[in-house]
Amino acid sequence: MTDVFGQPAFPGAMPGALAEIRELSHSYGNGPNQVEALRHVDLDVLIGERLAVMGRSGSGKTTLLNILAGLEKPTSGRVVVAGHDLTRIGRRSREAYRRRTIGYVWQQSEAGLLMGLTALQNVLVPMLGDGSSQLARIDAAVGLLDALRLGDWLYYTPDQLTPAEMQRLAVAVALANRPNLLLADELTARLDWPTARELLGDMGALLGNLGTAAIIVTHDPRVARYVDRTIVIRDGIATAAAGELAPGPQGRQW
Amino acid sequence: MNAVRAEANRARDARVAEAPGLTRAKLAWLLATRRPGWAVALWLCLAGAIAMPALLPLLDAMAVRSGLAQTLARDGALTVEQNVSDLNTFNKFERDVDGGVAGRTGSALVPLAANATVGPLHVVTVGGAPAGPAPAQQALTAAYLDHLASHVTVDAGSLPPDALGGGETAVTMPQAAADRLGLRLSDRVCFDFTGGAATPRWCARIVGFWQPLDLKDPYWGQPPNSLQLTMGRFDFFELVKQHPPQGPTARLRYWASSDAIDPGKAAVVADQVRRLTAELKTPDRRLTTSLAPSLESFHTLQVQVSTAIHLFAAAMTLLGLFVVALVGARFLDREAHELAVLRARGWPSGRVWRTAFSGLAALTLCALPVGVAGGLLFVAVLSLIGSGISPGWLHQEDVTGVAAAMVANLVGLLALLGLLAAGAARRELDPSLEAPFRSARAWWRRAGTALILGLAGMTELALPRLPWTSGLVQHAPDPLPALLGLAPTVGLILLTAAIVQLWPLGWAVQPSSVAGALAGWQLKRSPEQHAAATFVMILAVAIGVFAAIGLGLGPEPQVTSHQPALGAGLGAGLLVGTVIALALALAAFGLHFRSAARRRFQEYSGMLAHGLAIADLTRSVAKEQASVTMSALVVGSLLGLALAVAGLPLARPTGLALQLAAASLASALVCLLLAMLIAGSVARRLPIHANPFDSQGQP
Repeated sequence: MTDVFGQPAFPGAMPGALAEIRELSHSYGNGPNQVEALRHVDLDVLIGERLAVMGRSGSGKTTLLNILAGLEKPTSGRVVVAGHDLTRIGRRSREAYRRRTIGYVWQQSEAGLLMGLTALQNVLVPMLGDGSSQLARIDAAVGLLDALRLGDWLYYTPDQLTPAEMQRLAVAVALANRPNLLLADELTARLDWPTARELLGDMGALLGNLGTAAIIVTHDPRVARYVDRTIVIRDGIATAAAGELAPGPQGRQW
Repeated sequence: MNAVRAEANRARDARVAEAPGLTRAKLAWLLATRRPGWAVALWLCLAGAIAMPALLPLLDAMAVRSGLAQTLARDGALTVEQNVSDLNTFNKFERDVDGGVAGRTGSALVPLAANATVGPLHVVTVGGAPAGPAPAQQALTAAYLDHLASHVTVDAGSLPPDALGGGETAVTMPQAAADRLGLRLSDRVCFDFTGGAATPRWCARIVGFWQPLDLKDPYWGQPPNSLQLTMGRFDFFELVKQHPPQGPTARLRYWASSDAIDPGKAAVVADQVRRLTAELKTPDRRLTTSLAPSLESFHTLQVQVSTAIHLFAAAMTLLGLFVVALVGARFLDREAHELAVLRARGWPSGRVWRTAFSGLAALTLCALPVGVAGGLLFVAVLSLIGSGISPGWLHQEDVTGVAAAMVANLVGLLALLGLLAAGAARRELDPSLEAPFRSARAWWRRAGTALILGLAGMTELALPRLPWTSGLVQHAPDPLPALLGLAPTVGLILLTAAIVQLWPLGWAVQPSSVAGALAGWQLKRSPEQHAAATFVMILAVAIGVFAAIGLGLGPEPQVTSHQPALGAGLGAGLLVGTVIALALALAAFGLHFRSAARRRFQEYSGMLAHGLAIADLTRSVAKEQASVTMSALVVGSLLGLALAVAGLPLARPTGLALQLAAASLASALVCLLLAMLIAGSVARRLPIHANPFDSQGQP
């Protein structure tokens, strides 16, 4: 089996954790103004697993995502992703971690895109310096964009795309370096449900092909149908959603 | 099925093959030119900043060399005359004087002409027949002129080498003289010293006619005598044996070579010439020269002009760096999001820095030919309009020095851009991860910094006028006098920085209107946000005032009338420098407020949606601009005045000169104010129909 890169696929869902989160706490501010965003969170994410994180606004979802993305350093606890201990990681290792281990889709997808570049160039940017030939990089980028139905928009800049296409492009950019873990913040918040469902379906196929795990922060309970399990964060405390501690009998619909 | 798949694969392969790739260099260029207006603005600022530090020293070198050449063309001769009785005396005289000149002045004075004359002679017979009335009544001079062949064109016959005219004496003469006397080539002419003698004493055959190549050739000293018989040295002293009534006079002429004299050491050469004239003077010799006082006069003016231009060039160089820093920072503000995206994607900060810097460096390298071409165009125009300044006088070391200054400035600019890029490469995509907005520092900290900067600045500004400095300048080793001359520029920068620390920008803003309240709140919340723009504008106004005073109250007109090139060099340098300085500063001012207007637009987007009029927002930016403009005009004028007093060769002002200076200053300030108002008006313009919530619809 080969993936969209024309290379052997990353091993699929395997036993064993890709991410281990233990006693994770994170707070903002000091003294009486201190706000605890996360409190003693324990969580494992398996290789190739898809996980939805739900919760009210301000419950700590984005903080969890930012910590997993290496954008913020946790106040206490331990976070290990693909062998990288994010509580102790140095600057260079964190950069390499961001570059190779994770892919990130921002809530406002344009925040992670380079507006002056075409869709193809946006996908090529993360690949620069990965040691492969230019032709191989273009081949991989075109494959990704085809898989996300953007093959006809290779030479369009993000501001010439619809919000849905821009979101697809953001996913393509996040997956350009074949990360172990995709982090998506409110991926479908700005899309109507049929469009969101189509995006989730295409992304799911791609993730399966790459063997990439995903954590999707969402408000929409319908997204839960497209993941292996869902956790809910309330006041900084993570709990498993009812009946979804493990992949449910219906399983995910990808 | 397989055929369909193969067809699809072929189509995809074709698309992949056709797709243009992306390299880091291409990415850097795409990011740098993503906003063409900003890229062009930075590019032009870089061109100006590159050209100025090279152009002014080049102009100074041209003016000084041309001024020296003009001085020497007018007063460069040294003539020594002595009566000589025979060839041996002549040779000894020549050897003595040559040795003395070479020993005292080295190669500064070059032998130009050695000649000897005797006369008057009268034509007695022509071809054996008595001369007609025309030749007989004219008095001729017999002369030996060395190296005559190099300075004349032969119209007929030839100029025989010394003593090789054949069996009889061979002479030549100007064609004009032959025409007046009715003499022809090969005529045998006999002469007598007394005129009208029955028996001629001396005969010669005319073997050539000539005319001077150039009557202004310093070889002649004065227009050549048209009635002159010229001959070789041997023949001349054979003629002298005929005991003419007036003994022969030998004349040695030397010329100061502008190639051999370093303009900076003209005073040394003047001193050498004074000593030489004292050494050569004997009772039987006559010396004629005005070289020493001319060189001293040139030296005095040259030092004044060069000091002023170098001071001005240093101020311009620093202004260029500050403008590039300000415009580059705003340029990178616009690029910050793209760079932060790269950081967020895990690019190492070093690689992000290289990407940002490569784009800036590419713009700099594109600006280099424009800067050089602009400089060359200015030089060409200046030499074509008859200013007396010519690039033809430049020496290789002048060009090398200017090129070195340009390279050093280029390296400085690149280093500055590298620092700016390093700051931009550290920015995070998530604003919450960045350092909080900078609030104003405590007043006592700012006051302390201002006090230190102010004291240092005033000392530097006053340094050239301190009594002990002139002695130090005369005796200090070479780089120190030049550095001391630049001290006022450093003083200007330090004083400007001190004033910007404490200057309350909000003083001109009245919070009685919506616009005033918004502007006042901005200036209170972050008084440092316009500090860089205020700094650049104060500096530009100071430079403009310095130049206006320099043009109005420069060196005395009677001095510059003798040195037109130096006067023109100072005037052109101040004028063109001011124009470019103001263009650069206005570009920085406009771009800074363009960026500020965008920030305000984003910041107040919510208020705009709830009824805040765009016009009020624009007016609030205008009030911030007015505050910067008024501060720059007031503080810059005072600092420019101080710089002029410290660094300009100010003449004792007459009433007319003061009126001129006041007019020049007033027009400069009015022009500045108008230019700032126009640039500010264009910069703060916001699109009335822009949707503040549309990220693509931003101004």
